[in-house]
Amino acid sequence: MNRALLLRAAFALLALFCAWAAATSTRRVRGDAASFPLPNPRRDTPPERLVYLEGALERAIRLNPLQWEAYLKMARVQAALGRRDRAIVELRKTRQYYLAMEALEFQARLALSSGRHAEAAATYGVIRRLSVVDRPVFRNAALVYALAEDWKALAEIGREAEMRWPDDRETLVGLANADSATGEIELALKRYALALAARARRGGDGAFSVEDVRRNASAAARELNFRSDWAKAFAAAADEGKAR
Amino acid sequence: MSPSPPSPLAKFGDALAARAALFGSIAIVAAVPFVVVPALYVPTRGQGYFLKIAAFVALAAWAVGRAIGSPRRGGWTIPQFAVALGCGAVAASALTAKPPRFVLTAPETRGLLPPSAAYSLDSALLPLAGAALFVLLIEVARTRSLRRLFGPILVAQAGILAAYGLLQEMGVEVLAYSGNVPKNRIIATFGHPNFFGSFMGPALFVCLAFAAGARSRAARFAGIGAAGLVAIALLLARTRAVWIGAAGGLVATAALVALARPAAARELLRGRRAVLAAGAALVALALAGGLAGSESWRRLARLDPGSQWENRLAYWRTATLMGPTLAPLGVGHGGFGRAFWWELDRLLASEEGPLYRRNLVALTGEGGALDPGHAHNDYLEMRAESGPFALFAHLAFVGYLLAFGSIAAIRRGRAAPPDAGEFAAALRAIAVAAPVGGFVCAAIDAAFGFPLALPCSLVLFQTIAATLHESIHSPRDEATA
Repeated sequence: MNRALLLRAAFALLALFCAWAAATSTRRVRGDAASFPLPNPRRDTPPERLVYLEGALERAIRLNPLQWEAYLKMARVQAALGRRDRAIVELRKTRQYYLAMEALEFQARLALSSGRHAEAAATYGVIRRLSVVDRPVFRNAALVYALAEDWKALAEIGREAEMRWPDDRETLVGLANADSATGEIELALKRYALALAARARRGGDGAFSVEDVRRNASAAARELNFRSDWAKAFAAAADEGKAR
Repeated sequence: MSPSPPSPLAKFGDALAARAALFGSIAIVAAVPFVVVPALYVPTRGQGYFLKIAAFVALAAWAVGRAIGSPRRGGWTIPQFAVALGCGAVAASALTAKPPRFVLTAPETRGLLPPSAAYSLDSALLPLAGAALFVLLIEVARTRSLRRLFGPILVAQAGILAAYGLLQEMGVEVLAYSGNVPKNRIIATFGHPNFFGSFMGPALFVCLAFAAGARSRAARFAGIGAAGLVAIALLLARTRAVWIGAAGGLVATAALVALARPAAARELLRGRRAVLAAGAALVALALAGGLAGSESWRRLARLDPGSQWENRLAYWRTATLMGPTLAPLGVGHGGFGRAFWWELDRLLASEEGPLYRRNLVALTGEGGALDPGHAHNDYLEMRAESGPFALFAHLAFVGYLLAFGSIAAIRRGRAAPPDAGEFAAALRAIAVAAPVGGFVCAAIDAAFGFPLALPCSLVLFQTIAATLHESIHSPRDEATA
């Protein structure tokens, strides 16, 4: 008798758990469905639409707080509304669920556009800490480190990138910039020259214009007073380039 | 003393439990792959929601029915114990999941975050829904043959979805999927070729069993047609884990048939029909080539197995690193993705680092999507996330059903009616052995992917598991469907 009663109680408890689980899943799907039909806020979305989206996302997050995409979209809406600080707070929440590169980079760009170079550099530090360096990330990181004048970080990330893509112009130029800033002028000159050679091989200007690179390289060569072999070789190559 | 007749309330409870199990399981098995909400991030998400809601509503009704219905005699079988232990381990690991430890947690945002136990429990609802489906199917098997009930449904499903996958390969797409879903590849409604494979691999064996056990000619042709479509689609989908799984399943099926009916197996290999079958397979292959154009074959040739192995190795190694520090409860269900970077960071700093560093960009995806989500080995992931008890329960579940399912298949394959010829006996042996092959296929696939974390393949896995359970514990359908 007692055993039968216990069994009935266990089934009743199971029914309660299932009812809770079904109700939770229903809430989640409502939150999920509500958050997705979002236009891209970067394209001049009218402000009233943005305010509507903000409300819809707030409701969605209340129903389903466990979705990083909703926070990312909320950050986009907040950024489009001009509230960068709030956008950064939303972006930080996404990290708890998925370390979305998109969120990290967006956060760095927001910090950069707010003039907070050190914060942007720190965010790229997070990306680096994860050891995930692919070319676009490296380029953005190099730009951010240069703006934040964090030459040590730039040199460090540059060395890592150089191991992967020894021929990449942006890598070479980024490293050369770091070298010249840290006083390694000869090394900088060598890398500028290699970047120009890579440019000559593949054509196109890439992220850095060839004129800028030449100007930097000439400055470096002048600083070295054309002492080293590299400086002489560079001067010769530059003359040859001009003659052509 | 004779037992008193059941009260009207108890009768109502019994009927409620039986109906909830029947309609709930039919709704889940038949509908889950067809739930497509293009607005959602990926199709599996909508399918997961449907599975969870349907399974928990049905199980709640079943439990209410059992709470007020008449008591039953008899104990639990080993798979039922394993399911209970597994659910307990998953729930315990979810409830004790700690906040993520990685370096990124900014102190000023900690107060804003939901606790990790909530995240983990939410994530654990999917495997719990799978267990709920198994319970419902076992209830249905008390009164009906699962094979007869679900065979036609699954064959129709596999045929339709394989045909849709082939259309996609030819550039025909009717659903407006989100940007996160790969295009112009065989994904049917599953969202990824590997997910497609994880469903279609075991489904191939369901189709074979259906074709071999069919009573009418039309049903046999339908089964053979569906199996052919599935086989061609699997080949073109380039899902290598499932190829290995399907090969393992075919070997298992053939071994069981040979053990049950050696004479019939010889007959099958010798006869004209074997030549016809081989010819049909060749024609199907040629058709597949013509159907999809040479691009598919070129893509097949471009596969780079080396880098893919390195990917898998990095996932597996991080999963094994997660275990020892967090035993016995793991990092909590759904926690692999969050713990991955912490462990990978340690791995890269160790002397093994260079082995994995070379392949980092591939590991993290072309767009830099940072979360692999799964260990790409359900067994390692189970141990890392939910601890060794959950893994033990799962291995006991799979091992028991495979071992005793095989014995039951051999026994039933031998029990042919005396007037049947050797060919009919061989077909019958295939019909009872093929579900074991399907289970082998799913078990092998789980070592390379994550079929148990995908709603459609989870449903199929549980359906085949319940069919094997039925063949062991209530072998009423001696005549095949």
